[in-house]
Amino acid sequence: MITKDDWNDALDTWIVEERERLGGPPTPEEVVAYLSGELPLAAAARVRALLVYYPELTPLLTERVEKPRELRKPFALRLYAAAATLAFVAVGATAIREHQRNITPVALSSHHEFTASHTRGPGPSFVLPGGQRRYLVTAVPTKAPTESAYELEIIRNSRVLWTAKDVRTIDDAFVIDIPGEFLTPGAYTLTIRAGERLIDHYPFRVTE
Amino acid sequence: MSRIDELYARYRKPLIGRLIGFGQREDEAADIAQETLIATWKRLEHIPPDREWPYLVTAAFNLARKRHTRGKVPRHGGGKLTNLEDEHDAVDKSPSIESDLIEGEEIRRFRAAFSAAMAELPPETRQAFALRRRGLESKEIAELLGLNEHAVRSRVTRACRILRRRLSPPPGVPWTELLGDDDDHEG
Repeated sequence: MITKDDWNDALDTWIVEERERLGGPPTPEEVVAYLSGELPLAAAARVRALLVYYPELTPLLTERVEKPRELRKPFALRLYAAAATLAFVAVGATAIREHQRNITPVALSSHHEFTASHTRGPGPSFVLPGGQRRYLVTAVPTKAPTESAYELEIIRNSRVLWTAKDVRTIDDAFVIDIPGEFLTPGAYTLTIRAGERLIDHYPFRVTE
Repeated sequence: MSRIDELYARYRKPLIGRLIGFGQREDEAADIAQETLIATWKRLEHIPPDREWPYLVTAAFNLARKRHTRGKVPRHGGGKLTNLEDEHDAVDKSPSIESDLIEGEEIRRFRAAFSAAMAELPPETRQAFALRRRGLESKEIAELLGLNEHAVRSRVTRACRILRRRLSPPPGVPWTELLGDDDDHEG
């Protein structure tokens, strides 16, 4: 006998089937194009239906986000106010530093691309300017990665300073976010391994 | 501040919050947000500044789905917690004893009739009905679908009318319990 739960399940099942019929969740590009009114009628109807049938995406139909420049000033002001308050109430320099690290968002100072084909020859191939707060490093391997996960190491004077296991690639490259404090001036090597096999290495130098 | 810096400063925390709302654990949410921000940064020149948020949310949602780590998703309006895909899978894996087979066949026939009734409705009416069943009020649905409240009510009423005509309720269960009120008594 059909019950009330069967009724509810029937709607849920229909929604799942409808999502599949419409081709699954929309891509970010489709959503942006839809919200900008750039899609032809049929495509727009499809994206709107998918936004309705995925409850996680439904709020995007009406969510308004302020433009970046309108927010920048108040955010900066809030940050300065927080910093000033902290300066007054600080118990010790270390505590303040730790606290600031916890409350402030991660802002990348610079981005650097290491390309494996540029690593031949003596001496470090890549140079990072010293004194940056963070470094976003994209290491592009010689061959497109085929393993599901890799191991990354940063080595200085034959000593392993940092290891990351089970690293996956993003668009066939390895992306590392390195705190500035970690990279004092000197010569380093970034290595990429798959098990015992060395896939690529990138000698680099951090300037004063 | 460069645009990538702005992207991190503005969206990292809200994106993690949204992912937690999707049912992700906090550490998973932070990981997915990080990966999404980096992937978005690579395409940043193609994204208008006022569309960064919808782009990020959609990309993060798709990445979370891809990783198959999505947990229970809360329904808008305080409804029950459910994960549609999981329920769908669970139905397909029902036990195969004879009575269950007969009941399963009855449910399959009912679902087919339900789907046929839904297919009779225009897309906008189906969407209004689905949103109403998710617990949203006419005013919210109107805003989401770009309609006025009256149009939403008439679409939901029409959907209920067609379902009543095509299907039978379980014995002793009133239609309002199955379909909710046609109207949310607003306005």
